[in-house]
Amino acid sequence: MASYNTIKGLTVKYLSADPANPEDGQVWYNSTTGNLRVEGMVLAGSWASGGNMSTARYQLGGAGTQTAALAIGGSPNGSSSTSATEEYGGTAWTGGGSLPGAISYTAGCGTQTAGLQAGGANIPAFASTTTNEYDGSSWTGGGALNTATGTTGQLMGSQTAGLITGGDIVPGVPRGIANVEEYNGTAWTAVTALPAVRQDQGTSGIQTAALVFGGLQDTNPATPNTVLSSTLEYDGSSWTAGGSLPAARKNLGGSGTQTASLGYGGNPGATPTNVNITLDYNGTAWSVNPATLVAGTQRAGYSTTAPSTAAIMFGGVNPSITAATEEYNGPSTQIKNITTS
Amino acid sequence: MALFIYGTATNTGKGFFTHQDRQNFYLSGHPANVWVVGNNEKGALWLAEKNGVEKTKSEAQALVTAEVEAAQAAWDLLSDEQKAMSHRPSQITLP
Repeated sequence: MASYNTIKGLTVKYLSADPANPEDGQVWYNSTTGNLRVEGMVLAGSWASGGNMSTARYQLGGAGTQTAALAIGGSPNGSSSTSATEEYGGTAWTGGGSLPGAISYTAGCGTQTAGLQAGGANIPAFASTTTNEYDGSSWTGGGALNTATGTTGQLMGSQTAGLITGGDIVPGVPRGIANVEEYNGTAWTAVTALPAVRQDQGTSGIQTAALVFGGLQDTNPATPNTVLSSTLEYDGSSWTAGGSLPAARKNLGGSGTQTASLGYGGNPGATPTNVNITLDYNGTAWSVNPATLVAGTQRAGYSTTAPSTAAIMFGGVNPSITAATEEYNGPSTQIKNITTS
Repeated sequence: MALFIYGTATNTGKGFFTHQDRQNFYLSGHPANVWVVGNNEKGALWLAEKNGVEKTKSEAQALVTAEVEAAQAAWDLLSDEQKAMSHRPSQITLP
């Protein structure tokens, strides 16, 4: 019988415990457990259920991480807005400090203890200059946006370095806007606009390295809207084209950085069913991630602050308005015993 | 053997379906608490453990259709401006 030494030209390390950071494919003998062991990639990325929010809603803002997230406002029915904030600790949602006013079609960014909410409005109004800052327990007013905007999915960064892109000003004409503004913790400043009007896009990244993908171009209520597949990258001063999504999509979620981003869910057009697809961006191109949401969902809350390997999505429309949460974990490696016979 | 098992079960939140479940069998969730589960041993066990009620495909489809029709009716009652901010829910055909 051939020995491992003969095959690999190496001897197997004899260790009393598993090594702290084994390389993929590394083999060793654990003398404590009496097992020959190997480090190998065995788990693909996947979405699992998280705790349900106390209130089903959509068009809400999100902030934080998978273990410390914030759900901000939203609409429970399409005809009214809520001022409710909920905090997530990794298992369950609990009530947080209420917003100064009810708001939906809004967006959030930052962390659970330093969150930022901007834009949106209280139905039947749709666009506003509202900005609020969260300190982990209560909201206080921030500097007003220079241009009123609505629609979730366009805010990223932090409470002291935020970026808001495009949006919707229904019932104004044109409905979509291309305005971009940066927040410094006190005031918003208009900066280089998007190349064209855009709303309902997915976003990720930070103020100086942002990513905008998909979305909707609504230039005039009298003409058909265009659902977009294009991606735009921002370097803190200008916008350039990135790799396109495999298919046009709007109202999708996004997490991660400009060079390692995750896009998920959304809707491909005016009436087709919501999608459960997850996409990866590597700074150049999008590819389909094998992990799927358990339910095709759009207009959900999500956190651009969360890394692409640990995303969180909550609420939304599937097509019912839902309180459900889904959590994404990226591919992982695992130590396995080797059995021989 | 059929590819899927159809059933209803209430999503209780964290742990209702795990990352390991998603590796073990196909799972998709739909309106009216309808779940489509891969027809293998682990999928069947998951539905049973969640106190799920197994349905035929046509029964499950009818539940989903009724729920979406209710969502469509609610959308139809919105104002024109509210409708302009969203789209009428579309029907779902179960796999």
